[in-house]
Amino acid sequence: MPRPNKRSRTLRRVFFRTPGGTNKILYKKRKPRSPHCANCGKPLHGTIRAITSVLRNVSKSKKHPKRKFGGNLCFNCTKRRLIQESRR
Amino acid sequence: MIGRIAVKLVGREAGKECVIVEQVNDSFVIIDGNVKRRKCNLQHLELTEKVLDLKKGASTEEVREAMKKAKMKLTSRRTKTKEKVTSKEKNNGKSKK
Repeated sequence: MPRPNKRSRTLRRVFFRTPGGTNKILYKKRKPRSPHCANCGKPLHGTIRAITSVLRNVSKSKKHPKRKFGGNLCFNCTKRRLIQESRR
Repeated sequence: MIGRIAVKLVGREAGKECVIVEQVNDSFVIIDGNVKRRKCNLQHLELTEKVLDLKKGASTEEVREAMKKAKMKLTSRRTKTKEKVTSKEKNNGKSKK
């Protein structure tokens, strides 16, 4: 039996075979929810879905599109917001 | 149409002000100003009421001067090439371990 804290499903399980031939289980953190648009809730393109320890080693340009509100709003909502701003 | 100020809505230059310099056909124009000089679809632009006094096909310098006169904000544009810094210049003055 695994340890009591490893019996819950909060950690995801990764199976792998050691060089010696035995099967082992790795317990790893689950991926968070992918980034979504703050306005309409659509999943965002050009963003990475990973835990923060992985994101730390990824370059900034790979984490969000280089656009105004990039990584926060989808392209359609930015378009609408910019139109609103220009008509004020 | 020529000299009209517009706002780009799409792409990395979204939200930046530009000026229409030339009309290519019904749907495409050439823009300049706070953006790189390029052909652009009219669907990607939000036209404003302001119009600058410009000739057809005005150069970037002429456009920027006209923008200065109209007291518009001038921001740095994306240019084609950047000056390359060689590894020797980078490490100049730094001692290697």
